[in-house]
Amino acid sequence: MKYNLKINKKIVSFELEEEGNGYKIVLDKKKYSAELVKIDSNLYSFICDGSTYTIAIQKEGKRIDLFFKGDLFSYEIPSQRDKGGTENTSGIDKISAPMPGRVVKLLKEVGDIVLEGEGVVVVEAMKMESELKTTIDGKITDISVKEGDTLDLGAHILTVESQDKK
Amino acid sequence: MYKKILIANRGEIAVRIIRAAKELGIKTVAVYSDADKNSLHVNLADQAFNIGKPLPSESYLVGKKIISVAKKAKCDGIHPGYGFLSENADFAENCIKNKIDFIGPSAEAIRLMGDKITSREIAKTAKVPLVPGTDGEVNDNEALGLAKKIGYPLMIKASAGGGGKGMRLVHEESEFENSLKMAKSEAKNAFNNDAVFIERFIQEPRHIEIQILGDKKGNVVHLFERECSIQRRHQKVVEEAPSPGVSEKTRKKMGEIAVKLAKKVSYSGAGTVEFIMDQKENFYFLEMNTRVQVEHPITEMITGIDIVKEMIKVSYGHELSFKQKDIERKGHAIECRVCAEDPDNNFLPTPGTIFYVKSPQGPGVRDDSSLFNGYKVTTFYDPMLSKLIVWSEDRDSAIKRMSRALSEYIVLGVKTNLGFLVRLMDDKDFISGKLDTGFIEKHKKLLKIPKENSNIATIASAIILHAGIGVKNLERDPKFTPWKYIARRASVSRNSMF
Repeated sequence: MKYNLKINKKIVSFELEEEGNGYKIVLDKKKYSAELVKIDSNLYSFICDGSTYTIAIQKEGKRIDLFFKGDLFSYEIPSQRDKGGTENTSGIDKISAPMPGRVVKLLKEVGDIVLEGEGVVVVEAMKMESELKTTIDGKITDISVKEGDTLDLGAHILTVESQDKK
Repeated sequence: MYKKILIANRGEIAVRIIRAAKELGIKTVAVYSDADKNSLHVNLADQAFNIGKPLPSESYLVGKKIISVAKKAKCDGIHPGYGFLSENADFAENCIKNKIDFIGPSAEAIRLMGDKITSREIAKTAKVPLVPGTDGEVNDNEALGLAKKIGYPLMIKASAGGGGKGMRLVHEESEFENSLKMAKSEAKNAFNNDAVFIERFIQEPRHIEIQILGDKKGNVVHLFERECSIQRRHQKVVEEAPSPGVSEKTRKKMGEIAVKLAKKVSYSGAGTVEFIMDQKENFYFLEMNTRVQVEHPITEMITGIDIVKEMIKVSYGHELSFKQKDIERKGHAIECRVCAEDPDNNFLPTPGTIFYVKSPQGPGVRDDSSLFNGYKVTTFYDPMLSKLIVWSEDRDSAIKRMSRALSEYIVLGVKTNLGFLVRLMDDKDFISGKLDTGFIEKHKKLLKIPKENSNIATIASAIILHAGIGVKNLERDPKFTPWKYIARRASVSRNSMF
């Protein structure tokens, strides 16, 4: 069966078949044999190609959080329309608050042309400022916040639209 | 001894102080903001009082509220922990005015050593080495001569400076005149003031600090050094004691100098004298922290001295129960600060709810933490979640132990720096002990998650996606979810919980 998972706005595709007690998975054209056994509320023993690992998993709605070797991987189960591509093939980059915080400085105005990786807004959370960057080349088409505004998690900040599409 | 003390702090340090007080038979009073009402320090204390809104400026930084709680609860001492009011001389003074002991140095010592300029002056009179440089502004005629005396490489810095403007690194004499001109013109443009001073540039500096303890009878001892060179954003991430870069001779010298400086201001309580050290063990005074440090546990591990208990005892008026010659160090200790932040995204804080946490255990492992299942990481406070500390007989085995302990640490819910710490303990340059404050900058690959790890995570998630969360059988309690646990925890009254 073919499946998609989304991580960091990218779609990862794989094939999975049941095989004995475990599964056969094809990812990036490579085959893996794997088994996953629950050992505690969130703890799993994971056997992959003969090696055993302890991992922790939490599934909540459309999100799968997985903790492995110190790192947290947050997967999203994509909706149908996301299949087969990344969010940005649409030519629109909607920038939203990655965490609750405050708008410190808007670096661009509506109508400004920006390049992929360019900073567009400075936000502050936990006494730390960080710059949010656009992931596409394009033009700023709307800004829905002003400097000093408080941001909730996921609040829309601004939109960048690719010019090629128009 | 004190009957009851108030802990004017939150998080792991509040928990640490409550534990020390309990062991000394002292009752404890916690204070908390609206954001912390379910936190561990509130649960552990004998009494707890709300002091306001989540913003520190409306709660943990409001000295007046805290003192009035202390009076109401009939406390005879206040321990400030670190951060917040710990280095606020006015607060220390107000405690005393209200007949409550401030568990820390005198307000005067905080004032003298807390100020960068006066502390430098005191350091100078105590013959503590300072980074060689001009005492103040230099004029063009004498500049070259002074530069020669200070030695290259050196830095020209704008007196009114900040943000790197009007700053020039000069490698050799031939560059000096031109750099001076540039720095002055930059300073003039940026600050409308072209005054500059010159300072030796310390290459590949290490951050080394000396722990000291003093009592109110004039005794001061040092508890050796800590190496804190692994930093990001000028904040420490990993500390160890002893330093792999400090020889026995330098250790002795640094310790003696730190004690001399502390005696100059009649220092009592715990404090730290911070130095910057080059790779040839030349060290220079940076500043003094007049409080307990985040990283105090590694010193406790190698000396066997409980620094927090000693602070409380000397504050009450007890004499230090040991002399310098009685203090021995044994083995090696390392501390890793576990933080809610994303190393691969500029160490950006990652607030959220932690729905599952599992701390490492086993020989030589200590986890100073305030985490529990359901803990909320908010944007109001520092993103540090816990401090994982290990002790072992030598540095190599301590690194291996830290590596092992980190591999047992599980935090589900928010991104943390645990993966970075795991990779750091495995890094050959870290293991070799050749550290400097630019280490993380030079080892950026440690910030990235290895591809093979992401693959394994994806494969496991693939199975979850296909088979659901209750994969296979070993599910012991199919109805159990952490969310239910969180709800249950919040509804249980605090006294019956621990």
